Amino acid sequence: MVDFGRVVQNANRVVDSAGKAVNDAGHTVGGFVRRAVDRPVDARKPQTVTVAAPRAQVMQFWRDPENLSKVFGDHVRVETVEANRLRWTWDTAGRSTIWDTRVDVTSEGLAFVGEDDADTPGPRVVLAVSDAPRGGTGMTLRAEVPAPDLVTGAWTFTALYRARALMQTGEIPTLQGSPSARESEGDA
Amino acid sequence: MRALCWMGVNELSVETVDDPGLVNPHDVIVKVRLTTTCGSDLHFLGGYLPGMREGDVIGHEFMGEIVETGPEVTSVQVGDRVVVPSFIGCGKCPYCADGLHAACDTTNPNAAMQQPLLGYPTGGIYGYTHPFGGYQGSHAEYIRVPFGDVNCFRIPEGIGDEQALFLSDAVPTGYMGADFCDISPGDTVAVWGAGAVGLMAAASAKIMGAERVIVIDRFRDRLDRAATKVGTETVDYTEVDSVYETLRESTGGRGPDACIDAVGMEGHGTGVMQAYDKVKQALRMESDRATSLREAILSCGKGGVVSVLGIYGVTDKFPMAVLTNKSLTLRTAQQHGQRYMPALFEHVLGNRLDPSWLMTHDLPLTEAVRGYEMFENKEDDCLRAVFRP
Ligand SMILES: [Zn+2]
Ligand SMILES: [Zn+2]
Repeated sequence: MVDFGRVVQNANRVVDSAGKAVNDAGHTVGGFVRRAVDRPVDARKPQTVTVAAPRAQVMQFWRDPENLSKVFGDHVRVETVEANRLRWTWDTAGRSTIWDTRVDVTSEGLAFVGEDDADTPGPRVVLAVSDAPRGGTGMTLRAEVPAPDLVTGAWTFTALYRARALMQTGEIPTLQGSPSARESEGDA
Repeated sequence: MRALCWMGVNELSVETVDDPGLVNPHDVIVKVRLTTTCGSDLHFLGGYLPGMREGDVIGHEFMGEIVETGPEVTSVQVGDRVVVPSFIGCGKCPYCADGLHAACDTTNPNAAMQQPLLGYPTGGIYGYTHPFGGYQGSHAEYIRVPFGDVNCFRIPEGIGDEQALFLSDAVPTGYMGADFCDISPGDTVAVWGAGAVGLMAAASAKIMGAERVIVIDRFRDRLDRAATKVGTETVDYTEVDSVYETLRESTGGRGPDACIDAVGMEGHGTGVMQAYDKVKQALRMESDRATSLREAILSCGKGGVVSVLGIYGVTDKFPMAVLTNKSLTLRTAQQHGQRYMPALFEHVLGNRLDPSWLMTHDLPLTEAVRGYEMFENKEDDCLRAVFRP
């Protein structure tokens, strides 16, 4: 049962701390919801989604630079420079960051490995594919890129979400052209 | 085009914005004929739900006419009169396949904003904050509807615009809430909140065979509508010492078989818990005033179902022990309108359901700011203000 005595006490305590709480608005505005939404997830932590597509199709999808440009976001371009060599270009705030990678087919899936770090554990984007429970292909993505401030866990999750959408429905959800669209949206 | 935009907390304005156009191959453009206010809009209007940005077009319950279709749309065409559920489904993911369209895995462009909070993001919704997709809302002359084949339902002859409008959200939400209750003939169902959703939940519970439906609210006009339009019993909670005791005593000491909460975090109430919640909400420490939810859980008979339609943020003081010890089932969802639309068309055509009376105020879109003011303050017994762009 509800302990009303304690509730009243708690309520009083809340009122007493009102001034402090208001001054401390940065921590209290929007409460838990806002804090959770604002907390960036580390891109090095793996993110996984399942797509209703066979493993071979998934592997082929991620080797196509046109698909990579679509799923990795509006501020990064991925182009083929030569066979199995990709160039990633981030255009942010008037600054371009270029990253050249090799495309390695590994036992777990694909690895986009920085040219300068080919043989050391350096920056890389790693895709692992697996048979998902109840069918489909699990896609696990983690990223460590040369300029870590360029990407967060939202970048890898968004890429997976878009890849699944594109493979399952033929399109990526977008706010393009919408009066509510904002530059930072639908993007990593 | 003209559209109603969110310009800040408690600040709306009719602005001129760009017309939407086709973007994806399954898109449809709908010319909006009718669009309505919803209680859940008040959450972000008041600043209790974060994620709005200045200039966002709001509104998520609407019907209209298709004026443009993408190259891969096959089942609807230009000229069709359609109603569109507020949550957007893709029709292809496992959740859409199971009829859980609000949980769609595909349609939220800002899914990554929701993931840290929910773990697994919802589908997108029109005009309802950026974590919920950031899509343009329906209080506008035109709206882009993704996956037109899945989300546009051609309105049968014999169903008027004013009836079809509410099949977008208020009716399917209420219907789903009653569906959750697994009603058997002879059951008693209590419904907290006599807004549009609560009234439609009550009407649906009757369609599904409930013998007694009891609606709880504090507004006389709303309770009168429950009694006269839906044929329910009513409880004015400001006139009884305890809603729980009133329900218990009127159900032979057993309690209702199912309780539907159609109030949500903007709920009012009386008593100490309410004061506690209100203080916390004022400080933005907790976004909820969960009086009706606690009361529904407390009131529900043993082995019953508590069906939650009201929208909550984060609720503390949650009476978990009451759920456990009474063997209650808690069921809740955002609305899966696509799943229920064919049944709802049948009920309207069969004269078992007529939601058109939910529209108490019929206004041009240019008066939408005033419409929201009347809706929020329940002026002139406003139940739903409807706008014609
Ligand atoms: Zn609504
Ligand atoms: Zn879906």
